[in-house]
Amino acid sequence: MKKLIILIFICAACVGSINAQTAWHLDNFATFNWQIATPLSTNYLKSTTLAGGNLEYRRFIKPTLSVGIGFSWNSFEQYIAPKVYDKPDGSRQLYTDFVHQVYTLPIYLNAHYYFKGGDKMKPYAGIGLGAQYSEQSAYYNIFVSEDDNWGFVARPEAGLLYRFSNYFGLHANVGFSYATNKNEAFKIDELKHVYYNIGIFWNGD
Amino acid sequence: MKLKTFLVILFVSVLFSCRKEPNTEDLKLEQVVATDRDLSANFSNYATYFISDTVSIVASVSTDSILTGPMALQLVNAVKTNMNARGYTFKPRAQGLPDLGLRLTVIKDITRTAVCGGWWDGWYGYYPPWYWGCYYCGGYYYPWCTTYTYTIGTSTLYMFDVKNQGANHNIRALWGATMFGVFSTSNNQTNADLTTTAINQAYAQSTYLTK
Repeated sequence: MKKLIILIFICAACVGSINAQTAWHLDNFATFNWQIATPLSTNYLKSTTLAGGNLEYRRFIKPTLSVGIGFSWNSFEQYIAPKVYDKPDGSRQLYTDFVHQVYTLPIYLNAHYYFKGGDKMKPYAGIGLGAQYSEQSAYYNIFVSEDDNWGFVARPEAGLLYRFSNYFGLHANVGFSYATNKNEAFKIDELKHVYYNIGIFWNGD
Repeated sequence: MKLKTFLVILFVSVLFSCRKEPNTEDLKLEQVVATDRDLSANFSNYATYFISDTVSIVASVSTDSILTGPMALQLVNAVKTNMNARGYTFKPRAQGLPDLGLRLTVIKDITRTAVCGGWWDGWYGYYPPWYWGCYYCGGYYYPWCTTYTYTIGTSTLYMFDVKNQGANHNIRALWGATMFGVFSTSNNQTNADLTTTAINQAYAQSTYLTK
């Protein structure tokens, strides 16, 4: 995976370097990112994950406005140390440790507005709206309890493009993902996380 | 490089990099211990108990029905130590009926359908349908049962109310512990140690068990 990303980066940089620098002209735009994410507002797990990615396509309908499609994936997990879980009426107790895991796969349509920026950099803000598939798992000893579900997802975000040429550059953004996925058994009412994307973009005609 | 080619490469790479499998090795170091009590029982009303020096065993070898020797004693002594520490007194069989009867069973390396359950319903979300309370309880009735097929090491320890048995000898289960998890396939002492630790944990989380 890492080798593939490096290879793509080198190839794109080589192609980009032979093109003369011009004013920004974005048309068909794709970006591929490594995504770091921190879950919010769930007691199920709280650990930041480095296991994630993001892929988006954007079509510019105006020089300052794009619409497109994208998807991301994150694999959150956290070890929960052994402890006793008491049933409220005191009739039952359970002692074990767990590995809690949540896998998310949002698929969304997006719209972005691009600010003026400079010759090299262009900031933007936008939102993605769509559906999120998620799997929630609780591993204990050699067993696992798991469930999967779909929810609505909204992902406002702000980012920055840094170009090496009109065809290639670096991309970074930060966003907030809110999804309505629910898991009654695991006491999950929603899935929220902050995400950070770092990657490359490619702009074609 | 065309944009479409770029996208195809990225899409394929994504397909091979999605869900990360967690490391679950640490989870196998201890058994899962589940305990259940009869809320109407007053454990201070009982003074004596009895547990056999042998342990019932269900294994893939059909001739195995009881576990004897040092490993059985290790497990039984763990029960006795905990019972004594809670203020109960061991009463040998020759001295008549005890107030409480305890039964320890080990199920190892076997695929079998148990008939117990319901226990996990509504349990903080952890609802695997494989709680077996009364399988191999020697005819005692225990109220939590369903069906499950398993291939792991399981130990059950049940406490029965001998003192208040009815005329038809229906004996009520007052407390139960189910301890389960992966067993070693080659080292029975490891399994005995795992079970001993689990027995101690069962008592540790059942603080209401006192004379």
